[in-house]
Amino acid sequence: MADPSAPGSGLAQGLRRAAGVLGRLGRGVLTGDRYEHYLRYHASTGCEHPPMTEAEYWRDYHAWQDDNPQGRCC
Amino acid sequence: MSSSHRPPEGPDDTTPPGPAGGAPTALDERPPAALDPETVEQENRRWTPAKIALWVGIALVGALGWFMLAIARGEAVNAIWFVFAAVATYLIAYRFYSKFIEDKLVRPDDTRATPAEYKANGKDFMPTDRRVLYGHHFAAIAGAGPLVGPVLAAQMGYLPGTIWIIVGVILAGAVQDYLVLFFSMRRGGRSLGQMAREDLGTVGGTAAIVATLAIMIIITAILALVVVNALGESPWGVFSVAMTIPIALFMGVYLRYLRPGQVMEVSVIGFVLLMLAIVAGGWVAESPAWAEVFTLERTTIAWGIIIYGFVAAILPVWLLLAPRDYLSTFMKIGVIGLLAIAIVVVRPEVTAPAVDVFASRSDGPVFPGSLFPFLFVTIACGALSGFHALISSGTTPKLLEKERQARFIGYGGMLMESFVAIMALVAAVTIDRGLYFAMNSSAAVTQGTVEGAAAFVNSLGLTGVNVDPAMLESTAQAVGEESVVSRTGGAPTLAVGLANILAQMFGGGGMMSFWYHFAIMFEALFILTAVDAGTRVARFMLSDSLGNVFPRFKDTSWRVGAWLTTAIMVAGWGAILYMGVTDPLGGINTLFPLFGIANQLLAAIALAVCLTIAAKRGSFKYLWIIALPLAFVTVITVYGSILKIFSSVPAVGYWAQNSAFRAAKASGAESFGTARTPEAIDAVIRNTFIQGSLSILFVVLAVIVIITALVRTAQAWAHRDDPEHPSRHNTEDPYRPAEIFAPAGLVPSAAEKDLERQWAEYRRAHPQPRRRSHG
Repeated sequence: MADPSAPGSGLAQGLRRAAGVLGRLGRGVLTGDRYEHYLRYHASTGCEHPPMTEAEYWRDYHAWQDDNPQGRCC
Repeated sequence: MSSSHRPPEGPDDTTPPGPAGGAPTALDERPPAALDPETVEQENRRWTPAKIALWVGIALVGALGWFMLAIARGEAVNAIWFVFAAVATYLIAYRFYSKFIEDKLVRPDDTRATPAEYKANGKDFMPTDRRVLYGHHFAAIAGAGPLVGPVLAAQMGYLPGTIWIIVGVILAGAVQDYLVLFFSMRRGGRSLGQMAREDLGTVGGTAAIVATLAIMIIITAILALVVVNALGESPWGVFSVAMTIPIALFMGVYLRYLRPGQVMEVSVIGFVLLMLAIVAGGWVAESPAWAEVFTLERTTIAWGIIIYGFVAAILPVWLLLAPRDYLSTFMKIGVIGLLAIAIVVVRPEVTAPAVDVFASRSDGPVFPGSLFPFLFVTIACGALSGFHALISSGTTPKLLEKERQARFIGYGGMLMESFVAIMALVAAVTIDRGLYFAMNSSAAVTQGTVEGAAAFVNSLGLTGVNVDPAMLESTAQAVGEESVVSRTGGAPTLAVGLANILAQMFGGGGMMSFWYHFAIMFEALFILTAVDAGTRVARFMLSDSLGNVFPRFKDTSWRVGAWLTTAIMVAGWGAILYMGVTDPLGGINTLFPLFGIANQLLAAIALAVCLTIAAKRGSFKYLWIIALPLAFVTVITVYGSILKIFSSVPAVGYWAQNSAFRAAKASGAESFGTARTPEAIDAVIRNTFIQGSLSILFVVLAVIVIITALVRTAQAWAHRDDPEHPSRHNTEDPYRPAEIFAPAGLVPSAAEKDLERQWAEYRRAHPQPRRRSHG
């Protein structure tokens, strides 16, 4: 959240916020936030077991990808 | 009428079973999952003076762009007009035509849960923010197609290509992508082949699936051929593209063992390493010893790609494909953005005429055939691409948060792809026209030398074109290559155009060789990723089909089975690749029309499936939205196939070429036309046989599907007043109420912002989301 009393011009704050948004968007497009989505999904199922760790999750996901290939276009 | 089956009204129907305690109050306060239809209608109808002024302004900018491109004569045209014409037309088409399609034909219902919501599994079914999904979907559909097709199409001048890229996408390509995405989403994310089987029946469905597999093999082969042609005799190129493999392996290991999930970090590292690889390539090219090692013949490179394709598809995804995918996505989006900015900043002058002499002839050196139908077939991906239907019915429909977002992602995503095609066209038409023909005419006519190329191009009789061998030499030197003559396949031409534009923005002439190899590596990077991914998908389809006969194949952990099916698929595209590389007539020249026709036939199949589905829904009044592009692409591809099969002109018709060479062989000739040896004559006979047979196969399969679709559509029409009749059977997943909300387009409207605020408050007050558990 932008703190109006913080030093730095409004432009700098705006740029920083834009960079933050773009960074998050970029990370999303590259699927870097996949684990967070999984955590949110896990919480919503109300499952009693703890969720997989990040490393475990990615191993599981890549193993799944091996069996479910996705095309990339022309 | 909408075919969604709404449950009866009542508060209990939308209450999921969950733990008691707090449930009634929380759900009573929950905001709606969608805007009221009346509110949506109101917002659409509200035309403030500001809005009107904006759209009139966009229309004027577009009109100016089109005027300068199409009508104004005199001074050289500037590339900026392409940007104005394209962007303005896209915006108007998106705001008015796609909205019209949404309102009348698609009729999405945001109160309906999408499969991302009701089938959520934390893996492939996950509601994804529409802006992120847009990038995802765009990265999945963007490839070499919109980069190569327009470059070849520039043979006929800039105007025919520009018109088809822009008009074709808004009336055909984006419509296809949007509808396939929506219909697949309504069916739980089912693939095009499955939708074809359900809605067209077994015959149509099987034809569609066989066509999909065959076309995938062709596309993979020809993309690989583009890479081979770009890297042949180029030590710099071979080195930097070869380096992408260890870089990707390093990234894969880094992600798995060092920093799991840090995708952005590893992509930046990979990008830096890639840049170093390009710079190092320059040193390799300068050192005589190293240059020797990396200067490879096209056949050697072809074998290299075949072996790479096999090995890469066998290796686990995390090791090579996934990191390549991150890098490709990173580069695609970055470079496309960079190029757009560069074109606007540099505003290069266009050197090609609006309509060249080849537009009215069929003997063009870059691709043979007349403008109708072969221009459309050559441009393919930039305007309408059947392959996109596979992607639109792949992962994207499983990630859509809300139904109304399909327009932004499906239609909007394809518009962006079309813009990439326009930029590729700009790159091709802003280089010296003589250079363009010297680079894109096959070695058969240029002899592969600067003198031969100059002589050939000057003999074409093009106004204002006079090529000097020295110019070709100096261009080659400037880009750090031995020669630029007959570097067919579109990638080198695009690279020269890009280098030309980017060098004017950063670095000047000295940087041209860096930018050239940057562009080559950029294209090769995602083509090789697509080859890997395509091989895996093809082997999966094959295993699935074989699994019906030999059940062992259904077990994906059976190594031998995986190796076998991969080998078969790689052999399939590898054979066609090898055929193209050794073809004395010039591989791209003969094979690219086959690729284009295959791609457009798949588009016809996709549109036919959409037509049937829309007819079954009862949307007869607006069926023309699909019927129009379907009719057009059917005419183009069937006519194109007829020419390729039956034309008596050997340069155009595969069988005519075949009999001409067979006659020559029978008469004992040692060389004929561009084939200098008896082996070359044999090669042409074999190649044209395969090309001719494939052409017949594709057109037969596509016609089967289209006829089946027309029959089903007619049946649905016959029972248009009886929605319960079997011919109107609805194959959609049943209605489930939605429990999340998200805006429909890029920028949320006022009412959507309001509803978002309500949801934010609700989430603050009730932090634990109550949903059904999904095992």
